Amino acid sequence: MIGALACIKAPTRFGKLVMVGPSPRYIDDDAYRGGFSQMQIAELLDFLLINYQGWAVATAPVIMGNPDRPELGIELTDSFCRADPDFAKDFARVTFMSDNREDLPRVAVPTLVLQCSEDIIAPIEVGEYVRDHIPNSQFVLLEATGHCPNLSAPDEVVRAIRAFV
Amino acid sequence: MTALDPRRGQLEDLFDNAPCGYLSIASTGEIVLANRTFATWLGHDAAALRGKRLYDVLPFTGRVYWETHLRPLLKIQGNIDGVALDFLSAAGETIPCFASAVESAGDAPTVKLAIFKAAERRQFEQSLLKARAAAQENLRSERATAELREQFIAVLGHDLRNPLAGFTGGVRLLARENLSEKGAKILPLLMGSIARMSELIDNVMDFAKARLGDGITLDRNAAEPLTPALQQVVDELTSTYPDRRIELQFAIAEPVDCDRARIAQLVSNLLGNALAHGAVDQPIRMRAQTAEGFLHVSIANGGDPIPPEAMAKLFQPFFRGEVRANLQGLGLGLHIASEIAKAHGGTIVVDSSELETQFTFRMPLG
Repeated sequence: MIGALACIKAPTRFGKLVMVGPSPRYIDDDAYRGGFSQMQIAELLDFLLINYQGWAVATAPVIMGNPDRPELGIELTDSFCRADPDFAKDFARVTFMSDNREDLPRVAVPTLVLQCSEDIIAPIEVGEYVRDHIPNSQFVLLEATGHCPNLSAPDEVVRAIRAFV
Repeated sequence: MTALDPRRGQLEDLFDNAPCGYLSIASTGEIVLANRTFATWLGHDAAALRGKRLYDVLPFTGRVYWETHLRPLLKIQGNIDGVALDFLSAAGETIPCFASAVESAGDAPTVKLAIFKAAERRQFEQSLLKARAAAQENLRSERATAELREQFIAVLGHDLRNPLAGFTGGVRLLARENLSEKGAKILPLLMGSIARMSELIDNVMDFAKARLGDGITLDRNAAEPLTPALQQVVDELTSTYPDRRIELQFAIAEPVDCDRARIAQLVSNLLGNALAHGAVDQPIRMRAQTAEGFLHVSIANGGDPIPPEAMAKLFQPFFRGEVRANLQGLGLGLHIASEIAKAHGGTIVVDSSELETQFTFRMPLG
């Protein structure tokens, strides 16, 4: 969604947009199904707090390169947002509480929506909702499961992106 | 190992009855193996867990956390260590745990988890988090109150200056009149009190300013001589304490890059202290000199030494030690003096013994 907002803010800087497992709104709202209830999200944020600020933080792994997986190099570890617990907390709140449904029709660039199979964070209906509300968009259902196909099935993701750009 | 190997039974026992839960998961998310300890915690049969999916034993929060944090972390670095993770019992209850995991690479990677119950620890963490949030809130409100108080001090100090100026003007006019013998005696005492009060106000305002973030501001000038400014301080205090003897030694031979008014304020605070606390029957010795790139000003008095327990707090604001009733003060003088010293890149050190108490101010010349 951050990418979509950037495209709206500075349309000339972006030629195309690829969204991986996007969700404009996690919390259910009347007819809209985001997949989560208000209470679930509150519970989730409380739980995340324990991992961001509790004892676990002291022992939390410092993200480092994995010698068995050199392809997931330093670049990735640097960008993985987990550094500052306070920021991580705020980031989670913004991510799970925001509602960007009204922004979708304002995305003017050609957009690819990559949808995973069995993504509990962003279910298929949500991906379809994004496709239906971004004017110039394509929808690709990946075989990859989960919410981070870029990590679990990088080849499939790269193929889909290449075909689009 | 063969089926007859006695260690096989021991290994099975260690696996099944370990004091922690063991769980092995295929890349599809399917549970390959769970030990008896873990199954018992969840109220399942160990064999029944096989074939279930990890998500079946994670509550909603655990599923999201696994998907958004733990699974990516495992992909990136192959292991996670001691994270909070809740599990879901057969009865639908949440079981707070913490877990460590490794992912073996290869064509069919499996994730192996060691799981520990953490109900009490979780409660402890929750109360720590609550206590911290409460402490932060307290600190915030304390700071706000302190700032308000200091603003109040600054405003009060400023407002006190005006009536005092009127007072000063009135006393100066009176000094030109023909006064009775008694009047002529009282007038210098009034002047001394005014000087002392104005000094107190200066200190209070400097303190408030420093606390409000402005710090001690300096107007440095190396061209003007420092000696006359110091002499004036001595003269003023001499008129307030006409009976006391101050032995002076000035040897400021080099220019000093300083704010002369501030240095005068510093010396006035130190000298005022020496006069107030020193033995009345012994002289105050004041020496000001430049040597080896530094300005040294030392002020020494006789009398009771400063108690050791007071030494550490001497330069803290509002420190008053064992003050005699007639010597009211706010306890800001030494604090302000040390702040002025710091602003000049200098220090004030104190040395107190039965013989004498000496404060020494030292700052680089430029």
